[in-house]
Amino acid sequence: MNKMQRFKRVLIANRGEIALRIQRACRQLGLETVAVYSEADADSRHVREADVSLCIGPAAASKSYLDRDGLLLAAKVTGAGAIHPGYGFLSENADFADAVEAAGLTFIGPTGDSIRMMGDKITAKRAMREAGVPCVPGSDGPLPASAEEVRAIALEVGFPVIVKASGGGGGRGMRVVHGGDDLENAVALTAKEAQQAFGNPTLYLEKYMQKPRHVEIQVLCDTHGTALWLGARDCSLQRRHQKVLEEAPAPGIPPETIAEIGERCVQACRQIAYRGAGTFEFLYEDGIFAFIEMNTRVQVEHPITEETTGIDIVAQQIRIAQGETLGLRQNDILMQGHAIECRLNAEDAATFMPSPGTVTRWDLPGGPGIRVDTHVVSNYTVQPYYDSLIGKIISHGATREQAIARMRVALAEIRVEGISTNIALHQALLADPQFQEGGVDIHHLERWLAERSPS
Amino acid sequence: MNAAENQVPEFEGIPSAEDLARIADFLIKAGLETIELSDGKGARCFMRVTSSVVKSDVQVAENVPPVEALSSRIAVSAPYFGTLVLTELATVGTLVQPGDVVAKMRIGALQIPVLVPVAGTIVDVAGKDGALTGYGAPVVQVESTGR
Repeated sequence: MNKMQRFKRVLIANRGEIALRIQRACRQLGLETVAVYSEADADSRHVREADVSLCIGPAAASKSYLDRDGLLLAAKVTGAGAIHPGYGFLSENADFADAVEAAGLTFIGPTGDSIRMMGDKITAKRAMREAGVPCVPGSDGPLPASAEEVRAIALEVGFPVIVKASGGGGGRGMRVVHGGDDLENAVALTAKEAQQAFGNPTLYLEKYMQKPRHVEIQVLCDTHGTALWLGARDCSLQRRHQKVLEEAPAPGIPPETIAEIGERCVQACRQIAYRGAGTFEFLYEDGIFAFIEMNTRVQVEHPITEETTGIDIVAQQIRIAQGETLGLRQNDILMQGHAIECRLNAEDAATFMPSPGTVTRWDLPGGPGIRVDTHVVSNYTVQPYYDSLIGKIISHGATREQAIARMRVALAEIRVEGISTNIALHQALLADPQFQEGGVDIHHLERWLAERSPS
Repeated sequence: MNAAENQVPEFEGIPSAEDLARIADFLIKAGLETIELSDGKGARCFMRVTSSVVKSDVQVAENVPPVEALSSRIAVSAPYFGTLVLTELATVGTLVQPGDVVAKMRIGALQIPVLVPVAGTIVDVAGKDGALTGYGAPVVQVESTGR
């Protein structure tokens, strides 16, 4: 079966649960793995289990997981033919993707040009608009220098508007403006912040949607012209722009509506010759979809789509990078049942302060419809240097109610000692009547937390 | 990398001296120089760890091989990863001076020397010649002669 393979050994340029997830996919495809790690991660499970393991630097990510030259040298010295960047770190760094390919290796992800196009919010939005993907009404390009012209755009879009930095993201470099009087000041402040934070003062302006949901479409594209959408995820439960709990499909949105938006997404992919896995993120309010950005990598919440479609997204990323065809048509993709993911973080459930330390007890849940993606084992030490994600509990059921019930049983089964976790927060959220009803907006979690806090 | 966000407290006004010290400590450990906190209502706190602190920390990490003192025994570790190529000095009983090259880390044409930080005698060779060796792995041990 194995025809010409472009690579036989994959360097995993990441850590934690996603490194283990990628390693499993490689193994199932008969590929060897190289685990590169920082001194702080020497005891990680994927490091112990890799075909080749190499410590590439100290704990500081800038000298290990973000060290582009070091990673390329590590690929060279270990004989890896491809690099999988996972999520975070260098996964959406266009220059790194280019450097990998320039070194004669395969980057398991889109081209540097695609990453670059989607990394700039203005060019991304323009490309999407041209491809027929619905976008939020706004300035459709950089804001002009003249305050009068900016005011005219804002009046046409209609207040409230949001002023955003073109190079921003993750909730940084943006400001909501409710009326014309505050506009000039807000633009000046945001430009200054954008210059300081991103080295680029370019701004754009959009209609501010007041209570939208976060709905995203997963796509997979091979290099032979096939582009498929794998349904929608609802990731509205966020705190400080970090997703906490995700579900698929998005409750209450008709499948035909999702199909229509999915078709437009894959049409856009064909138009820009996108390759690999990607996610189109939308705000959804009153039946209207508005494109926010495209993530050009695998996402933390990919397992819920894997559960509802039965497609191994990480394995498909690797197969696409080998130059293989997806071997699927849109009609082959069936979305079955409902899936929920709870992100387990090593943090205080009330204050959200990180809780690094050694995990002395780690009893995991099981049973039908329960999947656990984690790198943590008993006596593992959660490091303070990286994000606090210690695992993901994924439940799948025939209905949303069954998925919720299975998740509640799973969370009650988990026993973690030695560190604090946010399990209690997830339990309270799953018991929240508004969540159970489905379709809460992106501000719901923060509002709900504020109401629960004693002060 | 959202580690910074998770290492700093909720921003509700000027952080206490204790919080400031904790954030500064985190910045140094993470190899970062600046951090900006904001509460979304426009209040902002910008912190910069003075470059002298960051630099001295970085120099320790970069220019001197990691050294671990076991009484007068000094472990010399790999300053980078690569294929370990021991030199003739990496033999038990050899007298060495500070700056002597006991091995090289080779990656293709690139060679990074492994330097001895003190005068003394090689008492153990832990590194394997020709082996793929990671950052921080022990290469030799030196019994230091005097200070």
